[in-house]
Amino acid sequence: MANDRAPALRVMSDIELEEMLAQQKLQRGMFWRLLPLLRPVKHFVAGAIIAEIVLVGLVFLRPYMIEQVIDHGLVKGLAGSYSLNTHIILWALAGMTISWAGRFGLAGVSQFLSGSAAIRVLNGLRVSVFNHVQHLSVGYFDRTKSGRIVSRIDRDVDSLEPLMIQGPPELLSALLRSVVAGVLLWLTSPVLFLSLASVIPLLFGATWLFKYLAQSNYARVAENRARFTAHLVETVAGVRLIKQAVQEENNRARYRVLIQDFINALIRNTLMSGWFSHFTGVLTTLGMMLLIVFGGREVALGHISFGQMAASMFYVFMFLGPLQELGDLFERYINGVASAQRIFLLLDTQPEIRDAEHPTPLQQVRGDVEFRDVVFSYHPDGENPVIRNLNLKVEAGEVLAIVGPTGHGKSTLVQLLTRFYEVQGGAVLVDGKDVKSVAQHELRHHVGVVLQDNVLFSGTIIDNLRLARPHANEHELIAAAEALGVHDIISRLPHGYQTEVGALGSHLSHGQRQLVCLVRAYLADPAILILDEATSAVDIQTERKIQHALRRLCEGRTAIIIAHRLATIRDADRIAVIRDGQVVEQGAHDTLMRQGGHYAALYHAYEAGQEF
Amino acid sequence: MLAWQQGMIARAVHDVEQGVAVVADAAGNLDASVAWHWLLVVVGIAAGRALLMYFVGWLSLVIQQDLLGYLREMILVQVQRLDLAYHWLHGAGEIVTRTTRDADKLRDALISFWRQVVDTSFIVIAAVGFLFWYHPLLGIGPLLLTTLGFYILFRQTDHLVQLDRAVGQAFDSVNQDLTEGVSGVRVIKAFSLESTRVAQFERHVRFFVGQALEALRYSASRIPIPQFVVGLGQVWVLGVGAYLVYTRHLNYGELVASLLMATTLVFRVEGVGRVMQVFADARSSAARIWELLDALPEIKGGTLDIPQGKALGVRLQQVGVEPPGGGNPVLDQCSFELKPGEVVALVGATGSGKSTLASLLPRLADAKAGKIELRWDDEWHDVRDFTLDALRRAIHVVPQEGFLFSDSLASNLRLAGQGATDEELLWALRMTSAEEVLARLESGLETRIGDRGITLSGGQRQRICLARALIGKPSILVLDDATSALDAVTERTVLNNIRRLPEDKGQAVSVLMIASKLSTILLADRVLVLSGGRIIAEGTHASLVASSAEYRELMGVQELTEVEDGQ
Repeated sequence: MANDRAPALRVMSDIELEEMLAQQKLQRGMFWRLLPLLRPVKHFVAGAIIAEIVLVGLVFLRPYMIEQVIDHGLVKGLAGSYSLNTHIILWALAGMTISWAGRFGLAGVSQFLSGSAAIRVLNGLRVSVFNHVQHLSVGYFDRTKSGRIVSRIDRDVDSLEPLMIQGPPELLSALLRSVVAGVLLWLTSPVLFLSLASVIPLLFGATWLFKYLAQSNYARVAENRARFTAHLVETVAGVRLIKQAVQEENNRARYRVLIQDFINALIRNTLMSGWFSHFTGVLTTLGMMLLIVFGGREVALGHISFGQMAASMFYVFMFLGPLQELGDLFERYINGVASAQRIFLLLDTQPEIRDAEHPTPLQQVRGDVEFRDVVFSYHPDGENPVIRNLNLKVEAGEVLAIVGPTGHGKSTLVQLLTRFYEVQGGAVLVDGKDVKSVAQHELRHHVGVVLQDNVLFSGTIIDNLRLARPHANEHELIAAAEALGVHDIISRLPHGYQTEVGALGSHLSHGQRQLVCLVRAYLADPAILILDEATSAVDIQTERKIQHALRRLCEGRTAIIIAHRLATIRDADRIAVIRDGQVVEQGAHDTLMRQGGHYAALYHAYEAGQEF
Repeated sequence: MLAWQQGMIARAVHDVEQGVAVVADAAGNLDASVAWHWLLVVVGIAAGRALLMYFVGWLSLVIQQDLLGYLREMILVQVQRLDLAYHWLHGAGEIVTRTTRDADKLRDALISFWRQVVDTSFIVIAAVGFLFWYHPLLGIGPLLLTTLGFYILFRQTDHLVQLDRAVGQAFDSVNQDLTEGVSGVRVIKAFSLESTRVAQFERHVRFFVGQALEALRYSASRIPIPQFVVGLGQVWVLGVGAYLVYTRHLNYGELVASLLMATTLVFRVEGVGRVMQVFADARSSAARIWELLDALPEIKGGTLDIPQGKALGVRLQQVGVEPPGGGNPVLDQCSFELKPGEVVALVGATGSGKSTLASLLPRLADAKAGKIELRWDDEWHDVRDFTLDALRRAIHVVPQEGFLFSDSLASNLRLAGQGATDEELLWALRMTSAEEVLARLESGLETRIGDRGITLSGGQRQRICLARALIGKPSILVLDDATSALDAVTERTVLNNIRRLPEDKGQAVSVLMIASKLSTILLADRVLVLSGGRIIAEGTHASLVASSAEYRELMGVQELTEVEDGQ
């Protein structure tokens, strides 16, 4: 099947697309980007580092105790019998107990410090990534799978933890242990140190190879993971359709392919990097045995005591163990950097639509709207424009209805007015000011929209209404619903205004959602109101009911209404017919009917329908 | 598993050898050749073991990932299998969390299970056995202390599980915000809600942070206790070992080997401390995944098949439906009949239960009371007697907001009919006036649409969804306001095309249109008026205008006439 090969290609295109949007490459140095993030928790990190240093000291107590017991606690008599120095042994045991208590106690402290630092930093980052995402332009969301954005803020942020938080203290501790053990070995006997040090070149060689093999693979694993997650998110979102079309099995098969890809990448990754820890294990054993050989010689020659030799054997763990941990740390480093790169790719993606540096103030708006020679295409390179050199003027206080076949650019046009998209040619003017020169939030404060995707946010209906007017009390909000004539409908819901609407308003029917959106727009009280199919799912009875209210709502402001119901349209002051991204007709209902053009044809079809 | 055991045997042997090596060295300390000999032997064993471990590690990863992959797949299957009511209740955010985050935690636990638990328990057994082999007194202390340590650890885990569950729940709301922030971006921008949403997100994150810190505080302060208890084992070995050397039950070499062994033991158990946290996480994650997997779809299919290509009739008898949260019934004693080949419109006020009714027919939801029957070969069959697959193929509901996958147009269309040829796809697009949509797409049928594809308007989406429905060759087509974004002309063309299907394709379709636009309603043979959960009137538009006040009010007919008169 063609489908089976496609995923491999798509892997790259998703990330490439994001690179394109960010105008940045994925592969970049991350160190200097990550460091500043640690600033707010530097005390925690410093604390964790101190705890680790003390820990290292405690760790070295133990071989010393053992040495003491062997060399001094047990005194070899002449006939090969031993005498017991109880005093020293008790001291050593007490020291040992303290060392363990300190060891684990401090480990707990260190874990707490670095853990809380992690939680703080990562969630801080989570918030700022979310903040950034919220400020990206609408076009970004059109082009990026929502699952991928979510996984940036969710999974990728999480996988930074080992890199940023546990990393530094553990690295320090590993290095310290290794260095101190090396120095102690050297002090005990340079021969011992050298015998052990001889394995280090091997270790470094292996580390380099490991790094080389592992790096490229992690990115692929992460990418594969993002893909099957995105598929799942889509399945959950489209479950109704999957059931309806009886696609459960096929969808499952596709998911299986994605998972298999992921597993294969993961396994290949492990095959290429999994040998490292085992190899270092062998190296440790080799080091230990070398130490026994040379230490045995030294003991035989009488250069060191047996106790020192025994203690040295513990140093082997402390010397080589950390080097082994380095491999682990490195693995996390690679993992973390891959995630960091993707997070920063997102953070570096600039909103396509930015406010001018010195935006023109727009405090009072009369409501004049003008589309001047507007060109817009969803493609950045301007291919296949949806709006082609469109000219349209709306006077302040006028009610303009836009009609035309679906897909000919009506919705796009009104989204240019709110600056969800940026014109590629010409200009959109509000009160004679180019919307590009006005701050977006100020513009949107004056231009209210009710779009086709009537989204509500989880919370009650009142919560959703309050979004438009944050400081209003409940009475004012309900009064707005009453003014629009939808109070009865909302009251009939299970808990009236306190009904939970569910994620994205999914607990309400489409029509109910539209009504809430309408009230919300009404509450925002904008100078220019855009209704894009705002009442398409509302039954006619209700629409009629709110029709008068809508008319009143449009009074004193400019209104642009996209609708299919001709009854709604006929009430407008002026009607513009849009075809192929251009205004082909405009004028009042009667004028257009007399012209006998597109509008007349549409209207006749409607009337014919009525006679049907 | 055999490989594991062998690995462990090799390890035990290795450890024994190591002990012996020390003895040999201590005894023959002048002769380095013995030591060199031991070096070769031990390094050889270690290398062999490493190879084996590498292989076993790879094997366990394969098993693990297969297991996890299977689990992930099961979750997907379950997601697809569960009733819409479940999805409605739980929301997308929660389900996605379960599959990604919880499955990952489970994976961590599985990996730790292999790396730590299996490995560790062998090491604990080997180490304690090793010590016992030297002298029972030497072994008894670490054995008791390790057991005690584990006991404490397990008791703590229970509390950790609870804490972790709270953390997980806190994260659910964070995730919910995320999803909404991404999906609702237009509304957020329209109302300049960016900062409000971020503030809310921050609040939820802060709560999550609080919960996570509490869990961390507990684990950081309590886990060291059992670790310390196990650490005392080494103190025991040192003390008792020294005494045994004194009583000449043990030599120096054995003492050193024992101490090495005890150290290994303690470090292993320290690792277990960490693993326990992973397990605590995994236990609550597993519980949540299982909760999902154990949820049973209430809607189960029967065994009857439905032959394709026949127009079916359907009738509802005294059907009642209650909302998931309880409260006033959505449908109450609702009855009507749709005859084969008929085109019927269903009208009703917003929230009167029209969409619920539509979901009942292909059993995307089930009625609480009453009977829904299909008429086929002059016999009535309860819909519950049919297999779900057959039923849903036969009855296709097109919702107002059709869902498009981010895939090519062709794949989206083929969802309804796997084997459909390109000609059939084009035919369906033509039938639904979607040809001009197609003409605007650069790569034709292969253009990517949906989440990340090109942007389609509501009307374009609706036409594509209609085309998709036709490709499935349904016997009953339920249009749940599925033409709301089409203009009157297009709508009429599409519906007329559907009506003509029997002549064109020999494929008879009964159509139930849920409509709010008069233009849609006028295209129907018959109109049903739904109010108060039941059908209160039916007839043609004209007769209903004449006879039903409710219908007149609903359609605003009276008013419309007035306006016309006024003009």
